[in-house]
Amino acid sequence: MLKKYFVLFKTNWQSLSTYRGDLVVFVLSTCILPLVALLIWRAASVNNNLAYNQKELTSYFLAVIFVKQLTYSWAAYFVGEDILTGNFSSYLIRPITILEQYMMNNISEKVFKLFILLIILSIISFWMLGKPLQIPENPVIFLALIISISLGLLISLLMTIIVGLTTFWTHEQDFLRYLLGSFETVFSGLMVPIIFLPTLLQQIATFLPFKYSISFPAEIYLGKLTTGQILSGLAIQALWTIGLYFVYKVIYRNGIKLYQGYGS
Amino acid sequence: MKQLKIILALAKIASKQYLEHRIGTAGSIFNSILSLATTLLIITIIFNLVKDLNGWTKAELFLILGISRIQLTVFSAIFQRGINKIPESVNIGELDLLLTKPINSQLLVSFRYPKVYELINTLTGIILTFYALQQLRLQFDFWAIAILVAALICGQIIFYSIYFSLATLSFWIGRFYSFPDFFLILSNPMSYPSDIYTKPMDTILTYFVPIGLVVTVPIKIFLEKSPLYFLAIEFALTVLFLTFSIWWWNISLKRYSSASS
Repeated sequence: MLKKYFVLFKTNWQSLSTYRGDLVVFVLSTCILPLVALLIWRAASVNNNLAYNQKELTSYFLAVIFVKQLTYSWAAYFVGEDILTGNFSSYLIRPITILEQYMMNNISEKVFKLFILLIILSIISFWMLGKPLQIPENPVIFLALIISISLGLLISLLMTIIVGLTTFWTHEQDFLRYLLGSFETVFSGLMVPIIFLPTLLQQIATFLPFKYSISFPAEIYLGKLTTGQILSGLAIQALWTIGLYFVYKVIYRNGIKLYQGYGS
Repeated sequence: MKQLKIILALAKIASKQYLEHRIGTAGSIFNSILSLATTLLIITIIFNLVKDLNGWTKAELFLILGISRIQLTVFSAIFQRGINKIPESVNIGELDLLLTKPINSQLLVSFRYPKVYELINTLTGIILTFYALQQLRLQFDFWAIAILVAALICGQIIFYSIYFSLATLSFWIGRFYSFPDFFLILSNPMSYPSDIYTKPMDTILTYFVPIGLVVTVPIKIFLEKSPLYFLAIEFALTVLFLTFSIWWWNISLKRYSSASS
């Protein structure tokens, strides 16, 4: 079973190696929103008494950029396009599920992008904080961070695949994709730290999965959480992953019954 | 005159194509409203915590957002899709058909796929702009509006020149699949005043990758936060960037190897 993942990873890696320049642009485009937010909040922290000072805000958004890049998923658009063009048929005859396909595509691209990302973040860290990018020294925190980012990626991947699969019914997924994007922008901590949201929005964020794909892993990285908070957060991430997986299975099973492979 | 007739004909064909897909068109309009609402919410949350952002008030930020929305939707309606197609056309040799037409090639590739329906999205920007002006309680005359419009037209041309010049890189680097992402990279910072960003970002975004000239500088001139001679600087940089984009396109065309050769 592991061999098929290795083959998928290798195929994607070879494809990515051919056009490395595009990856730099993709990394920049994923970073731009939290980067703009970082600059805005740094300006806001001048002469204003915020819960985070300028250095803390900078560290927070550097962590957000790092986590966002590793947990971001683009599956929604491509799954939808595959359904509309009939290319989805190829997933039905392969010995891999669509989730496995996109997971390995995602991981191989993230490994490649990580090198570019670390260079960009190092430059920003030196420029704004006067020190290099820091990795958590505590091995337990480091392990929790890896697990959290992995679960955050799965949450993101499952949500985007589910949105893409709705194309079986709607034949159009731009609206849901943008809606997902808007919810993520507000409730994930991407543009506004969760702590800065009005109380009602903070409570809503607690019940949605978005915070667990970006803000929660970022807070582990920053060392802002107690052991109890980390463990309960990881448990919530695991629950969201399992819940979204079941939704994915139900939507996939029912969507396949409607699929007719137009265009293939 | 002939060029204008061709551009209008292209717009008419594109409109008919998009009206065949009304749900997609309606979805696009709804998405635009959603995107604006999200940014408005973010700004409101920021101003619940602070009184101003580097001297910019909430109403002024709404004005920046409204005007940037108008600028971006006008650009998107007229140029974006045509320019986005340049890398693909270069890569598969599709440019042959366009280069043999009796019309300036840069004009043709820029105007060939207008999304006229997108102009409806300017309504959200216009409504927000009027709301912001009402909140600011400004007194302005015909000349203030004329200067603002002139500065915004210069800004639109600068943005076109930058985006078009970036697309032209596809002649030099082969496959440029990621090019449309540059719209995100350039447009996101434009929704906020460029001088709230710390130096040297402020200087870079105003004079080197001058997206600050697209919205922030025209608004600053209008609000009298910048002196009037900035309009002359804006005009000079417009001529410079447009001239560069024309020169760069002509130089890059020499590198083009078509599908048939």
